[in-house]
Formats: sequence, C-alpha cells, structure tokens
Amino acid sequence: MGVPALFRWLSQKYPKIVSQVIEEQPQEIDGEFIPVDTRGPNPNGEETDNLYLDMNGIVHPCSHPEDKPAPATEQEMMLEVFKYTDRVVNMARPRKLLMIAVDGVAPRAKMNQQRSRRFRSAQEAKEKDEDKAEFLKMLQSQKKDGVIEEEVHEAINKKTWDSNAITPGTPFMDILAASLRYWCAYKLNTDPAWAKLKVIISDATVPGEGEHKIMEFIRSQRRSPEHDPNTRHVIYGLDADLIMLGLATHEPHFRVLREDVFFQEGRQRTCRICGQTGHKAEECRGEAKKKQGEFDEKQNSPTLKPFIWLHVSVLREYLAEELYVPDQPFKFDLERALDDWVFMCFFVGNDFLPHLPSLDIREQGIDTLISIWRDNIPIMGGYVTKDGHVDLARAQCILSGLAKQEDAIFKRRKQTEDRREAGAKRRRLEDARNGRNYTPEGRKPPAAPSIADMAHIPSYSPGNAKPDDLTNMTHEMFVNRKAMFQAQQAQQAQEAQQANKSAAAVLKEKLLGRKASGTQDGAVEAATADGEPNGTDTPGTPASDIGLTPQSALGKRKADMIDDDSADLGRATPDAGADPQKNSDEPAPDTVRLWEDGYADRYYEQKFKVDPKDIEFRHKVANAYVEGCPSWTWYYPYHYAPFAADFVDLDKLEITFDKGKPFRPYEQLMGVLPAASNHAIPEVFRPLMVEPSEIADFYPEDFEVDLNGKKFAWQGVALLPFIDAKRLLDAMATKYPQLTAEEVARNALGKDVLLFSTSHPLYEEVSTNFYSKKQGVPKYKLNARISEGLSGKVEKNEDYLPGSTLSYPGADGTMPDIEDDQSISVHYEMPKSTHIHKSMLLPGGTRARASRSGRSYGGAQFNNNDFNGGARPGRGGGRNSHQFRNNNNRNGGYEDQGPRSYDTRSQNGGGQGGQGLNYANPIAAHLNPNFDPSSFGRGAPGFPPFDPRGPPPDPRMLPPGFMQWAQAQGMPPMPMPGAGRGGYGGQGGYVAPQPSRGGYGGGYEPSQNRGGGGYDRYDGRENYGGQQQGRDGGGGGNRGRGGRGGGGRGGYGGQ
Amino acid sequence: MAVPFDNFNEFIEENHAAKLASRAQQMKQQSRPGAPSQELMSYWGYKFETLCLIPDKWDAVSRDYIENRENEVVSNYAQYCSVVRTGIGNASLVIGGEVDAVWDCKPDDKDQPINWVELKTAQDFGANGNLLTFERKLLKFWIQSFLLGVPKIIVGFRSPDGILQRVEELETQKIPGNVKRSGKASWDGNLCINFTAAFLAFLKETITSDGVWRIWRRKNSPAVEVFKMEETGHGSILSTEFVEWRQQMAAQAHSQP
Repeated sequence: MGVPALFRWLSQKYPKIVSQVIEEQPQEIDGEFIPVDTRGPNPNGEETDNLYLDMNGIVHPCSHPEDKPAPATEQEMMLEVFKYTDRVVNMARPRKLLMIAVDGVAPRAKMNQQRSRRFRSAQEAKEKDEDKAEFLKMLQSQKKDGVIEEEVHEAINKKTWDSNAITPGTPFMDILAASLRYWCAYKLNTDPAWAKLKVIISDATVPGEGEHKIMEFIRSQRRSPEHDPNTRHVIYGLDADLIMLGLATHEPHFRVLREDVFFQEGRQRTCRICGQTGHKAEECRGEAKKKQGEFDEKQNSPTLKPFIWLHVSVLREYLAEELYVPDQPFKFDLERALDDWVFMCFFVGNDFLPHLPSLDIREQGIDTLISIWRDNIPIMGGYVTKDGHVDLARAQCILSGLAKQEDAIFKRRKQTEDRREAGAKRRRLEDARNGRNYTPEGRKPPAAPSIADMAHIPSYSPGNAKPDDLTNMTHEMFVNRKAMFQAQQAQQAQEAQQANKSAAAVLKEKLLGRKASGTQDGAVEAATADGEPNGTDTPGTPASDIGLTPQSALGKRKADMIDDDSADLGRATPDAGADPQKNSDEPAPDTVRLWEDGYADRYYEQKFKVDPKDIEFRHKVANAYVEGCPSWTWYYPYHYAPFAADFVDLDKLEITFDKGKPFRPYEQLMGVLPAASNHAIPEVFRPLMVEPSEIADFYPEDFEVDLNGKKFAWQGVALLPFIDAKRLLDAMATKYPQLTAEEVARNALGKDVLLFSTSHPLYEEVSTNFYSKKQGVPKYKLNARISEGLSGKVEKNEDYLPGSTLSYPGADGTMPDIEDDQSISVHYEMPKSTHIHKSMLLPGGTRARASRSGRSYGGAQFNNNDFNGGARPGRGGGRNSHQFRNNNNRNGGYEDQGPRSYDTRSQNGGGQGGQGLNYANPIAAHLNPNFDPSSFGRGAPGFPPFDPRGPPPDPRMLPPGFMQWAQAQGMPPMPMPGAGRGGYGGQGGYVAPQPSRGGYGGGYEPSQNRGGGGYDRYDGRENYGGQQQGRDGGGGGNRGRGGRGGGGRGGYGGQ
Repeated sequence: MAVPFDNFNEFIEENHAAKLASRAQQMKQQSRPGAPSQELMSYWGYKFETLCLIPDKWDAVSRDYIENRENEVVSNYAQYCSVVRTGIGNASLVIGGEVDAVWDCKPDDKDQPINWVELKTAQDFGANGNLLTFERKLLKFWIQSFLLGVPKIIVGFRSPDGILQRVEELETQKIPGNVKRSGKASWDGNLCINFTAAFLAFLKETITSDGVWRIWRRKNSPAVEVFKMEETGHGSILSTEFVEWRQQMAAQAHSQP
C-alpha cells in the first residue's frame, strides 16, 4: 500500500517515467497456438537481468478478481496464478534471475494495518453473502416456476471466498508455496528460455514482506564485489512503494512493471453475479448464457490489460534536477538527496504509521515537503538521512517548517471542498432543472487510451461512479423495477455519492441493528424520487442506501489491499482528488474541523481521548512517530498521527534500537485475522477468538470506523484494540502442544529456495557437492563467476532428490507430472553483513538516460506558440495541453487561485507557466525561449558575464517575432524565469550560471570510466551535464527543472 | 626492457650505492622556477593513490572514510608486492614488484587471475602538446604492468599545478597497439619484448659461473655490458640471513621423503 495515489501523482508530474510495455502475443497458425519463444530479444528494446515478483500482487487479483467472477476452487486459482505469472515473466524476460517473493510474517507495525484491513474485509464479505442470499430469494420468487438454472444458482450461492486466507500460515499459503515450486520446476523442465535462469522462491514461511525481502536481497547482492553494477532490475508489483524501493536500492537500471490502471477500453462489463456480459448485476435475470458457436468457442476472450514500465532511472534524472539546490553549502549528492526524497514521501503515507493529517498526496503534500526541504537545506547543513539513519535535528527543521504551514493547509483544504461542493450542487440543480434523463453513462469519460498517451487522461467529472456493484436490489425494488427505472437512473449517481459518504454513518446504523428491511422504505423512496435529489438530512438513511453502502463503500476497499490508486482508477471512479458531488448534508459531521482555530485541541480530545491541555502527551505521540525503528516488534500505538506542530525538540530524543524477533505465522494469524476467518487458523486456536477466552477482546465483532475527514469508508480508520503481544503469546502457549505435526510444520520459519535446471553451469558444482559420491560440505558459498553474479550460500535441500518425478501438488491432473525432473532445488541463503548498507552508486555503473528526451521527443518547444496559447506541435501528443485543462480539476481546486493555474494568455514573460508551481508540467516553469541548443557543446566559448537579469537575448537566437511580441507586451525582453517560489519573478530573477555544470564550455570531462576500486570522486551533478553532450540537440531540451519555481535554479540563460 | 628506446637512462644492476646516489641526484635536480619539485611530484603520485583507494571491500568501508579521503594522510610506507613466475622467450623469470591496488578483491579461487590495478599520474597534455612525453611515460607504465601481469592502469591527469583534471582507465594489453595506431608510435612493444628475450638469452650464455655479476649500461651507450665483479658469494644482493634460511629450507625438503 504505502502512499495512496502516489503512482498517479508521479506519472503526472514526471511524465517520461512511464512507457508502454510491448508484448509479443502467441501466434495462431492453423488453429494451433504457438507459444511465444522468449529466448528472442525483448521487444521492448532492452534486456532484463533480474526480475522480482511481489507475489501478493499476483495472488490477490487472481484469487479474487475485480472485473470477473472469482475462480471456483483454490486449484483454479493456482492455475490463474500460473498463467498470470507466465505472462509477466514473458514480458520482462529475465536472463539471469527470477525471484518470487510471497509475503511472510510482517513486522508488528505493519500487522496493525493488516489487521484493520482484514477485519473490514470480513465484515464486507459477510454483508455480501447476506445480499446474495436476499437476491437469490428474490430471484426465486420472481421466476414463474420457481426454478433457476443450476449454474446460476451455484454462481449466486457460492460463498464468497475469504481473501483473508492470503495470510502467512494458512493452508492456502501452503498450497500456494507448493504450487509455485512445482510450476517453477515445470518451467525449468519445459521452457527453453529458462535453461540458464536461476529462480529463487521466498515463500510465506520466510518472514518479511515480499517487497522487503526483495529489497534485502538486492542489497545483499550489492555488497558483494562480484555484483555487476549495471545489473538491470525489473520488479513487478502493484504497490507504489516499489517505486520508492527502486530508488532506495541506488541501482542505476531499475524498472517497475505494473498493469496500466489508466487503461480503459470499452470492455464489456460482466455481471458480477452470473459472469455474463451484456447486463449489470441489478438487471441480472439469472438466465443461462447464450452459447456462441456450438461449443461456445467463439466467445470473445477478455482483452488483456496492458502493462507499463515505470523507469526509475528516468525518475532519478527528474529528481536530480528537482532536488538540486543552487548554492547549497555542502556537496550535492544525488543518492543522499534521493534518500531524503523517499523519507519525505514516507511522511505522506506509509504502511506502518498513519500519515500526518496535513499531508495528503492529492494536495501536493510531497511538493510541500520538498519545498520545505529545499528551503531548509542551507540551514540544515546536510541531508536529513544518512544510510537509513535519520538526523533528528534536521528532521525537526522540516517538521517545524511544516508546522508553520499546517494551519494554512487545513484552511485551504476546507475552502477547496466547499468550493467543489458548491459547484457540484449547482450542477446538480441545473441537471434536475433541465430534466435530463441523467445517466451516469452519459457522464462517463470517453474511452481513454492508456497511460502511455497521457494526452487523454480523462477528466473525472463528478457523478461518475461505477454503478454496477453499487446498487443492491431489494425485493420490492425489483418488483417495481419498471416503475422505478427512470427514477433510479436519476438517483443513481446521487446515491452513489451519498452512499460513499454516508458509509460511516450507515455502517454505524447497521452495526446498531437497523437492518435493511428493504420493504416499505424502499417503496416509499421509489415513489418520492421523481428526479429530485434525494436529500437525506439525517443519518437515518433509507434502506436502499443501507443496502448500497457496504458494497459501494467497502467494495472499493478490497482493491486497496493492492493499491489505493488502482482501486480508484481501474474502475473509472473519481478519487477524492476530483471530488464527486458532495452532498451538502454530511451525515458524518466532522467534529474536529481542522480548518478552524483550536483544531489541535479538538483533535487530541476526540481522537486520542486525552485532555486537550496535555501537551506532554502530544510530544509523546510525536516521539513515538519518529521512533519507528527497524524492529520486528515495534509498533505505533495510536490510530492517529500527530500534527507537525507537535514535533518539538526532536534532536533531544533518544532512540533505542531493539531488533526483536519476528512473530511466527500462527501468532501473526491470531494477530491479524478476525473471528470470521477462523477457518484459516488451526482448530485448537479457534476457541481463543470467542468468549470465554482471555483474549476475546482482541476480536470484536463490531467496531467503529472513523472516517477522519475522508470521504470513503476504506479510507477511514478502523478503531480496533491494539493487540498486547504478551497476552496473545501467553494464551497461545497453552494451545501449542495440541497442534498436529503437520500444523507445527506450517508454523516453522522457512528458508529461501533456489532452483535451476541441469543446463545451468551451477548444476555441475552443486550436484558434485551435494549429490555425488564425494560430498563436500553441506553448505557452501557460491562462486559468483559460475552463478553469473549471484552471491550467497547454498545448502542441500533435504526435500529434493535429483532425477525424481515432479508431481503436481494439486494431484488433479490439470498440470502434468514430469518424469526425470531436470531441475534442481537447493536452499539459498543471502549473504549477510554487519555493515550498514551505503546509499551510493556502485563504481562502474553507467547511468541510464531517458530514452526519449530532448526536443524531438516532445520536450518543450521554444518557439512562441506558448505565448499564444495556441497549437503546440509535437508536444508529446498534446499531452501537456490536455493536462492543463485537467489540472483545474485535479489540483485540489486551485484553479481559482491565480498564480497556480496555467493560463498561457496571462503570461507576462517568456517561459511557460513560469509562475511558481505548475504541477502539471514542472518543466515548463523554467524554460527560456531564448535557449538555443546550438550554442552549447564542448568548447563553446565562455559564458557571457553574469548579469543578474540574465544575459541579453541574442537576436539570432530568439524565436521569430519574439522581440515584437515582447515589446508589444510592454516588457523588456528579459524572460528569465525562476525567481523563487510562487509568483513569477520574471525580470528580477536571480539566475546563477552553473559554471560547474560540466561539459558546458569545457572543464571537467567525465569519461565513462569511473576510476579504480572504490574511487568515485565524481560529482554526480557534473556527470549529468557531461554525459548529455552527446545527446540530441545539445540535450538541453528537456533538462526539466523541477517544478519548484526554485530560487534561481536558472533556466538556460545562465549557461 | 626499455633500453631500445631509451638512450638517456643509465642503469647499473645491481649496485645499491650507485642507485642511492642517482636517486639523491634526481631529487636534487633544480626544477625550473615556479615548477614543482621532484619531491612534490613524487608526493602527488602517492596522494593520487590515497584518493583512489579504500582499505577494504566497498561493503566494509564506512561512508566517512570514503568521503573523506581528501583529508587522509598520505603514506608511502606500506607496499604490497606481488611475486610472479613468468617467462620471456626461453628464459623463465621470477619477478617481484609493487602493485598499487586490486579491483574489488582477490578471487577466492586461486587459479583465477587477479585484477591488479596500477595507479599512475601524468601531466595532462593539452591539445596534443605533450603527447610525446606522455608516450614515453606510457612505455614505462606498460613495461611495469606487463611484467607483473597487471591488467589495468589508471592514469590521473593533472594540471601543471597538480590538480587532478581527469582520470582514464587503460588496458595494459592495448597500450602498445594504441601507441602505434593513434599515438606518435615512438616505441614498439614487440621490439621491446624481443629485445628482452634476446638479452635474457645473452645473459644465460654469459653468466656461466657463480659469483656476483654486474650489468651496466652507460649513458648514451648502444651496448649493455655484463661482467663479473666478484668470484664468489652473493655480494650485498642477498643477505646472509636469507641465504641461511633458504639453505635450511632446502635441507628440510631433502630430508623429508
């Protein structure tokens, strides 16, 4: 999870980091399917060495997919997993290593988040089942003969699979691990492209989250002198955290592979209940599917969702620009700056702590923090983080800076919401007045191509909720459906919004026992609804809403297990950023009212339940926040985060580090699962979850969800009691002796497994050592030259016998058994080190440059079309132009605040959108129309003498007509952008030339050689300058300055 | 080995006293006013080594050390010698020489070659001005690394003031080729090797008895002279302790079956 909506924010702000994945599809010749031979060169143009799979990102969508019915059995889920994994592996085509990491036992801090998710998921599943039962009842009564088709009956009646089974220690995870081992061995035997591939499987028995295990692995490899610094890594996963992870590895070639959640084709939506296309759930008639072709073979196969690459290397380039503070008192070190950037992002959202209330990514929280960081660089005298250690005094600087802005942020947030609300209300009234048959379909954005063509990022207009799973049919509603249809349409969007917002209130109602009776209330509502907005002034919402809410509100939350933003966007649902129509009557009034003075007191009083005067307590909370240390057992003991203003005197804080030990799988299960999921726990523990157990209070059936100012239920905070580890362990200790041997085995800490085929060079060494007559030591160190760079230790795997038969654990014949298994499996241990991992580029690494940069690839043009706001040829497909329009919707309603909006006509100078922060196109802020790339190049004659106004424009370099235009504007032709934050400084801008920007005008010429062992004295900044020399058009074209309007960072004039 | 292309240098092997004297004389050389002294330039060489190297594998070295090498005290005391057994032509040689660094680390497997690195400094030649001087230096670099089997040479180019401008990595094997093709071709690697082989063969023929011999090449002389100094003994080349120790070892080897 991590930072919600991070991915979307990143891809908007740094558009070139994303590119489309080109996939080779299997060919069909004469009815035969020829599978893709992945030994061929990668169609994406670059090869991959290592591929890492965060398996939970595959298992979740395969086992409970959003857009199609779930697989019937767990075996089928495994097959889905195989298919999907195969596709991902074929996209990336790793040549050296494939690592499959399944989430193991997580650190305590993460467990709390998992716990709240699972409790809510259980609740939702229960409600879904109840709804299904109702629906079935209704169907039965509706059918004339009371007979429903068998298959439909089954489909409806099927108990929703409990996705909480995807937790380490459950039988499902055991099946998964065995299946994965089988599948990898199977591929090693059958797929020629896997001949030289090494596969590491870290299953759920190995503690640690998947992504952290991967990170641990990469770091361990970097420590080894045999590591190739230019290893090309790809990681697959839906979590935006992986981007942070990629940055934090400090490896120059890193990409993230993920599904394109922006992709919306006009794909046929399937009915959730019976799985057929053509109608929605509420219209389901329970009919059997019409076959197409005699055996239904002509059925359209579902279109495959496209994938995208996220190039962390390009992000590094962008950030190199953005994080450089001119005249900083200490040497710029990109790797340290990147670590700081990740640290800032961490404050805006992470898995272990609730994020600070004033920071929200949709309000440019990260930008706020970064600008505070930049401001404070001279004061701090160094970077905030150092190899994972936070300098608290410097962190205090940042937080103090944020504290000053907190009040303003809250107020602004409120203003934005009010404004949006007013606008939406106005629109609703207009619609109602116009009597339009208001369908949500009508407001759907046009089918948008994928993210690679950002020109068509849809503007999410309000009222565009996905109607499918939102409505729930009550018996009466169905009976009267024809009469209701129109009314319903008009209401639908309305209700969707209401539903979302009243989620909390409704949940409350439900929990307090007001069940959906679905009879009179529903009918009454139907009767009154005649196109008028259905105002619900009180929390006593009608039954239909109650029926609505759990699914709508919580339905989205399921996806949040994977990624908040994918939940948002994969379903064409507006997120909180583009706020849906807001009902003027908030059923859950925000009693804290952050925008009003005295909010801090109210916050602490209501959320923490302490005396508002207790300042000590606030400091305690803040300290606890900061303490978050890399320990298995530490956790943040509150549900809410403190304010930035409560962080004082951090430098005086002493932090002790106690690594602790991870929990065992069953302990974790007991710690995160609700009572409803007790099927996943060994029987002996089940009684512990209900009365009269001594720890039954850990498993409440009902619990409060505090929206905490958010809109959707899944964003709220589940107020569950924190688990006292000691009590839990004590209670469990009494039951441990009663476990069966098999159950005990499942609870053990496992080891990583390394698999490879007999054609791999490692095979000989390993088989001689472990399986020949003269056996060596049972555990030995890998020779990196043979293992192609993999370092670590291998140990004999007692469960494996060479040359035996590989049999499918499912034992149901869906996958074949293989005689004479040609794969070998050993236990693998990562190299360990007591040294701190240093955040540095390894010597010898070559930088990866953006492959599509420079003027000819859509970098900003420097002719004067921007002044006219007119056509922008070749501007990345007009992406930017579209972006600016959308900006108004997206940027938290800043459209009315003059300086922020991009209005080309109001430019008073060169550059584009130079005023302050243009989040849509930060690069625009600093471009100088005077820029002429031909004046660059090695040995260019020296720079013009430094002139605070910037150099005088050379007439031959100016775009045609510029002088006339400039004079017409009545401005002196000094278009120097970047005069500090906010406000377009225009002429007064301090522009510091960058004489040390290597390569421009001779000087330090960094060759591609990096010097000898350990010698890495180059200055990261200079290399960027230097290496750009060879690039198209002097490469200056897209040197994008970060969107900070940043204090004289200097457009091109200075050079 | 450089003799065919180097008329200037006189050398006497093995005459320690003469060596010391010649070194002292070199150091005393007055440099041009404003130009750095020999001593200073020699310091620069060691300074470059300190800047380039870390004392252990990357993982084990702290960030502080890596970032503060500019302030590290320069020491030329410790030397690491590599002893190799090699051969040129028909003669087999055992050579010991100082090596500056190893890239990454020595391989665990003893059979694998070691990635030695030689660190050198040279004055930057601006626009091919001093290419010839540099080529002469290259000859020496190459010979030194070639004999010891050092595959990589890293040259730090400095300004006349001793400020490091840039760094280049050279592959020992490729140096003679580069000099021929892209340089001024002031020397030929093959010739050096052949000469050395011939010389060694000559030595083998000439030195037919025990005793202390001396090789002398006078300044500007086209000839290298080999003559006997003493009839017996090892002169001051081998210390008595060393000789005794070796004799002991030989005795032990014999006594063991």
